[in-house]
Amino acid sequence: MIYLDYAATSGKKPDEVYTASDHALREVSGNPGRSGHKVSLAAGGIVSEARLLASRLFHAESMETIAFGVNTSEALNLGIYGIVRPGDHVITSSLEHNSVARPLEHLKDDGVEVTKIKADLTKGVDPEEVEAAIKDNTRLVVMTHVSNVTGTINDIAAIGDVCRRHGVTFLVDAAQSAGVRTIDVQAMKIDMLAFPGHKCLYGPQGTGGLYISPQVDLKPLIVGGTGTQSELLHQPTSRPERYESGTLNTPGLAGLAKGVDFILKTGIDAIAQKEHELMSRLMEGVKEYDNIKIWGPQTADNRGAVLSITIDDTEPQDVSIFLDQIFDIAVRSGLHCAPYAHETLGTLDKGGTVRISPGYFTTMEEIEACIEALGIIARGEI
Amino acid sequence: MSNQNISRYVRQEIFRGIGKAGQEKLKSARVAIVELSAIGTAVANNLARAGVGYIRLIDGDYVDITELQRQSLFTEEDAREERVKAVVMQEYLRKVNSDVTVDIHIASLDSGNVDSLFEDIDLVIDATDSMETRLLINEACHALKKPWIYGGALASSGMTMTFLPGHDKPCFKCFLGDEEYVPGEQPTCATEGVLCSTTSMIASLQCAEALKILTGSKDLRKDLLSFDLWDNSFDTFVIDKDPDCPVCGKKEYRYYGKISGAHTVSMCGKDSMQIIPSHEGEVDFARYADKLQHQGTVKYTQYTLDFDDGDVQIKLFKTGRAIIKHVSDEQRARAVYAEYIGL
Amino acid sequence: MIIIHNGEETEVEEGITLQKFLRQTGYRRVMVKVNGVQITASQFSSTELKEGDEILAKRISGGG
Repeated sequence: MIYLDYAATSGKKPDEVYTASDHALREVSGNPGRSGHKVSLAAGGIVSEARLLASRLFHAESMETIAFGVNTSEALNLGIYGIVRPGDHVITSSLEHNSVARPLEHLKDDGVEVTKIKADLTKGVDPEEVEAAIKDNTRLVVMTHVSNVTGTINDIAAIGDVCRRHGVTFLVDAAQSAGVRTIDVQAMKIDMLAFPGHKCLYGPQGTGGLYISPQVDLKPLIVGGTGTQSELLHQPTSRPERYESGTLNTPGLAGLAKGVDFILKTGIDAIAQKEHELMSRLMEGVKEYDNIKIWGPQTADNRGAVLSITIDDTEPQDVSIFLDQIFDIAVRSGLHCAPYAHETLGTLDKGGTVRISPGYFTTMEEIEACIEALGIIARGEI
Repeated sequence: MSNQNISRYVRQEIFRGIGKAGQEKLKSARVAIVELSAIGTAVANNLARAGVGYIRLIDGDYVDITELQRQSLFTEEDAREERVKAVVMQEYLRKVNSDVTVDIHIASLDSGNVDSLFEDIDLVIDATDSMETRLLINEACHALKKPWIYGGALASSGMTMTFLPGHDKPCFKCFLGDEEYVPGEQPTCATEGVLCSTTSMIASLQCAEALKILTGSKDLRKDLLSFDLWDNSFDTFVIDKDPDCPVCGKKEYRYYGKISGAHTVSMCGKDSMQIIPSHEGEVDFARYADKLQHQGTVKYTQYTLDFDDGDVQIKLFKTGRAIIKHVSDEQRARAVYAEYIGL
Repeated sequence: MIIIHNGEETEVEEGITLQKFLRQTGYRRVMVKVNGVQITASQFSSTELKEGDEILAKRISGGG
């Protein structure tokens, strides 16, 4: 199988990730931070290691700023519901995933005003437009770093600067950028960063987290047992316990730790460079066909490794079924949980796009095979 | 505040080693002090008065009465109210020199926060009593290419050495072997005692070197200085770089970027914290009880040793794991363990 | 054989390594000069002591 759906989840992980999760399940089956006996402590050590590595990857002020959860969606919900109150104003973009858009939509029912800034598909959201939209009651700006549909990159450092100057909290959805693009939460003035463990951090599914700046206080999404201060009737204020109720996914975090370690050792620049090479070839191959349209940024430069295409006179769903059934190539077609992005593109009523997303472990041969398969479909030879 | 054109630093400015140019350099210098121990408080006081423009104090603990014997600035009231050391120091130093920026970070240094705390600093001063923290400082400063000044004290003796970045320069690990103490064996200020003179001497030596580094002086002391105020000895040791040093030779970090060292675990529902040392061992209860017997009540069985001095209560296990009672604060628990058992 | 440890004559076994001598004397974190020459920590176990060697050993101060 040729896996080209890294935007959904990473199809291949470094070997150490598999062995670490297996080892954790077999040898370290204790509840981290609860029991104080050897295996519970060892499980706690695994969680701490994952926390430390994640905090270093994002250049966070300390380990305690990282709160783990099951995925980016949970992290985004924590970040959004944790801070927005009725009567607040929130600014977002026209490229957002439903895990940002839906919470905001529900909050509108609670008397929250939402402004969606239209993003330029090649350059992303204009920070000046964000600044112009800020009002007295603007509580939060929430933006994606890299669009999961078009690969468009938003200049989060510039937007962070705008938000910091106006005292507005800034939440970044790093679902498509964590592990692939450099993210420095301090330098970029990011107050909260939601990230998945299972995409380009190469961890297992069931892992993800939210970086929360020490200056930001959130209402926890889930309250309950934290393993410490059990005598307190209320949720503790200390972090990260405050935002981590219940047992964490220790075997998952064991794998995630190795995934992040792999990224730190390989280097984001090397990873980005490889993905750029793969994307360049893919786009070059696709451009040979006049009837294949590329949606969003038209070059491989300054974009995420996410390519949305459509083939004239073919349903996107059919293309992905052909690719899967005939050529054993995995891609994702449709709206990608981001209807507003497709609305911005103009593909909302046309069944969305075919999204091809290679990853660091994708080979050039696999890209060539994909180009060839698309060619066969484009030429109508199916 | 200056009196017409005469600056408050005039005695430093006319000193041949500093001069007006040197004083200007001090104004834009940034120094971090790790822990407000007896050494740390004395260093902070010295450097703030000398006009070092930015001082970052890293300490998560609160004032304790047994430290008043040697810590320069805290008072009985601070101890009674268990005031946070960093807060008290910041208040005091602002009154001493309002030109200097004093920032505080109320937490222990650990591998999670060390980058943020050292990256924007020109010089790190070691004032900790934990060897684990020193090993982290050594590795972090090696990785981040920052100079740091080691300082350690015990009873009437002390040692200090400056470590500069550079691939031909030695580091702390070059001369520190791999032998680790069994918990309870390490001589600490709680088992051997310490004099105010010892700690303030170390602080003074560190601060003199700090002024040299920050002003770009060529007169840095390259050697390790070791003294004993009771035996009347002052020695210097030339420290050579060990090409096989795990840190500065092979860059194999054990603390920086890693989770290692002693763990603190809170005991759910009780007012105590557990400390689990990184190296467990077979504690010799008889020997340890002997050292502590004059400081409080000590009793032991074949499984545990209990120490109580009316303020601190420790239950020590044979492996070195300890439960520190009547603390709900990680920093305090670690501080007690480092002081009594050794980290 | 006799060696001189911090100014005092001490009896030790022939050809004992510095590492073993330090450990049996109860030293843990220590810096050492043998005959005026500093021995780096990684050399402790490969340095064999000879009759009459003068050893200056200082415990590394840990407290603050």
